Amino acid sequence: MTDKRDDDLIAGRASAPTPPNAEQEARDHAIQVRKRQKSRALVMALMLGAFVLLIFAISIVKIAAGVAP
Amino acid sequence: MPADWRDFLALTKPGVMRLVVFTGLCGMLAAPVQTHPVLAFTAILCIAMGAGGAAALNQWYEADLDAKMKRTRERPLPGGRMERQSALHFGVGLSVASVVLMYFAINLLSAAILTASILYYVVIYTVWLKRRTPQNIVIGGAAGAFPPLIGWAAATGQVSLLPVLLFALVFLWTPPHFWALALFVKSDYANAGVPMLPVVAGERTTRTQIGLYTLPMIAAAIAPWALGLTGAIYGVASILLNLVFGALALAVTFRRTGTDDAMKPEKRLFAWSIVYLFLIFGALVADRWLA
Repeated sequence: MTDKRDDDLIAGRASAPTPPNAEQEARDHAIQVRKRQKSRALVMALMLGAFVLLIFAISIVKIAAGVAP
Repeated sequence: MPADWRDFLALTKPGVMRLVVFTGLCGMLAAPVQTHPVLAFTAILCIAMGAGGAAALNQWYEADLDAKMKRTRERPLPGGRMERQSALHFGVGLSVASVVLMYFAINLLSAAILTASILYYVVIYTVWLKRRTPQNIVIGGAAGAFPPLIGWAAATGQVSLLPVLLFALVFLWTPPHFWALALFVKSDYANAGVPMLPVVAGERTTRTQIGLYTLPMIAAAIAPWALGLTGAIYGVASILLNLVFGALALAVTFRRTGTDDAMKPEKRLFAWSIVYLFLIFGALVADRWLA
């Protein structure tokens, strides 16, 4: 009679089971990474939007002043 | 873990940027030409971006020093919250964008002075002087003195005597301001191996130098009124503000410290020097708009 670890050894698989804490940590880490990427993307989108509006406003001011090329 | 956007914001040294933006804005508002609000906003944004980019490059280069000092060890790079390459890309990107936008939206002169100020801060101060000479902040102080000049140049397209005097004021204000700080965080600088004046030449010399630099600073602050470039509002304000600055600097100059000294006069001078700069530039704008 063999247990699961023996089966793993026969099959050549790593026998050390992942501790539940490490799994939880990995999941938390992935969530944290996703959260940061999302907030960075949101800030970047807002800044790009503001930049486009600024360029538009500058163009209007320059055209109105007759200094645009 | 990717860096948070707040870490990128911290990389721009928002505290320092407040003073830079304020003096730049005052330089613009003190000019005898009215700038369109959109263009004025753009010029100030460019000054802020340039200062932020230079600060990011400063932190990229000095990550090893920052890690050794209590005051700076929690910054994004020494704190391990950001990769060095991200800081480098962010700093270069922000600096280049600020100059390009300044050139296309405002004028060549302001873009050229902005470029000079970024290069001065990053190359001359950060890379060359800071780790080599106790005069680092004297010569490097010019980097922080550029914003009023840029603001004026953005508004008028030229440089005249008043913005040069404002440049001189901030340039001469920097040594008493930084050496007052260096006196009470001396051990921090010593641990990091930064040759600040109190570390290299000792407290006595630093105190004398604070007194010596305060005199021409006061002269530069009063000169715009004495030369008839500003009105009475600035004249009265500058005399009062400089009397306070002079008294606090005098207290630091002739003081001897004992063991376990709380360094209260030095902390008072450092705090006042920041308030002083805000108030004197505010008085300049009030004089221009109210007189």
